[in-house]
Amino acid sequence: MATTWECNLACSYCFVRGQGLGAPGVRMTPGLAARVVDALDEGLAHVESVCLHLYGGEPLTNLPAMRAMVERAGIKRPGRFRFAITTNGVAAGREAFDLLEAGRFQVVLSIDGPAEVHDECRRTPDGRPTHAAVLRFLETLRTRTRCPVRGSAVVRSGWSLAQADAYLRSLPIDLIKAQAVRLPPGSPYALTPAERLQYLADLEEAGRRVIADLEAGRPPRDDRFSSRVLQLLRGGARAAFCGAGVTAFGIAPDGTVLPCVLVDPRRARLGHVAGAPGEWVEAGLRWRSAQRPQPRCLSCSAFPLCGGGCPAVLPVCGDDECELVRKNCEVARAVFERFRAAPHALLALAGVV
Amino acid sequence: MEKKSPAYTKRQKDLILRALTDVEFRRLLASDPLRALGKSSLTPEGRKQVELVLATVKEVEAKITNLADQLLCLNGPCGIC
Repeated sequence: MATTWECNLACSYCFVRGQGLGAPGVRMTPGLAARVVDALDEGLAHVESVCLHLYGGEPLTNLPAMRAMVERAGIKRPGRFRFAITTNGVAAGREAFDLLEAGRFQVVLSIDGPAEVHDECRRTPDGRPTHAAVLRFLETLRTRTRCPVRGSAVVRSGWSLAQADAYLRSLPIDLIKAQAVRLPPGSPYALTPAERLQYLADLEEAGRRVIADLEAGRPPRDDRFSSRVLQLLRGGARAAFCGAGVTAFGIAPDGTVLPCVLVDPRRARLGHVAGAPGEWVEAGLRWRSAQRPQPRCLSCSAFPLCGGGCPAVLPVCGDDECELVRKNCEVARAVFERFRAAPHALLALAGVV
Repeated sequence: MEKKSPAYTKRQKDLILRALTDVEFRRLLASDPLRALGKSSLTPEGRKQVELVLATVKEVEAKITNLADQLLCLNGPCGIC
């Protein structure tokens, strides 16, 4: 969910800004934030737990809404609500850390690389660098909270997956996520054809590292292949790329419910958190059943593991996105095949060690 | 936390794998664990083990389904966040 689309940074490759998502200036009020928790509790009564993932915009710029959600969730059944947040880690004060700890947030921290790499793109609107502030945030987060942290780096032209991966591994974080910038081909920062080839090779290397981790009985820090490998272990094809509209919903700062916070609200509005929860739940099921894979998906070898691609990203990246997903699926198959005869090792991907 | 023996861990993983890959077994384990395991009784520890297996399988299923949910996510493939 986005409690605001406003951000305290002006990153040059921002997907959200590029998509023109949301009306600027709309911030979720504390009352509406509390209603979100109630609405999810009522509408998703059939699920055991709900993870509220704050996104945006920069969610730490709307602390009143965040506090209202954490407090409201606190009066629900223990374990009913979990929290996650994607943050740039800039300008967080004491209250933010207190809230992160109170909600035991899983934190996804955006940090691209060392200062010269990070600060090239991730600057404040008036042009100030942010790398040092992000490192201070990470240090404080680690010392003052018990929140698990995932480092998230954007791979772009001039900064490879291997480099981003190595940098993230040097930080005191639990999990890493380094992935190619999502921009139309030819955009500034988009990978060149040669860099895309290298990216695909780096994905193969990431797969080999996962295999080495599993052989050593360790859950990999880079878990990008985990769900697909586990799918191969379980068997069966993927019905859709993700759970959007069924097990996942997006909530905009004004309370609009969407299948995903990144899909165009003009195309896929499911309802509003102030309305009857059954309405947006039903609308989500209808939205999902109306989704059809592209004709070319049906003959794609990756389709059973892909499910047709991300409805939010495909319109932006098109064939480029398909190429990356195909490679991810291919590497996931390679990891699975390596352990086909000794599948116990694969359970480490689910945290069973 | 109590340290489990390697044999316990192996048995637990065997059960998780079977419950994950064999839907009928999983259903039986949930509805009639004695029959599923071919036993006449289960100790409290054994019942706890079964509950843990079923909970773990549920988590794995969620992890598979949530490919992108965790995505905007914590471990998804979209790379947006």
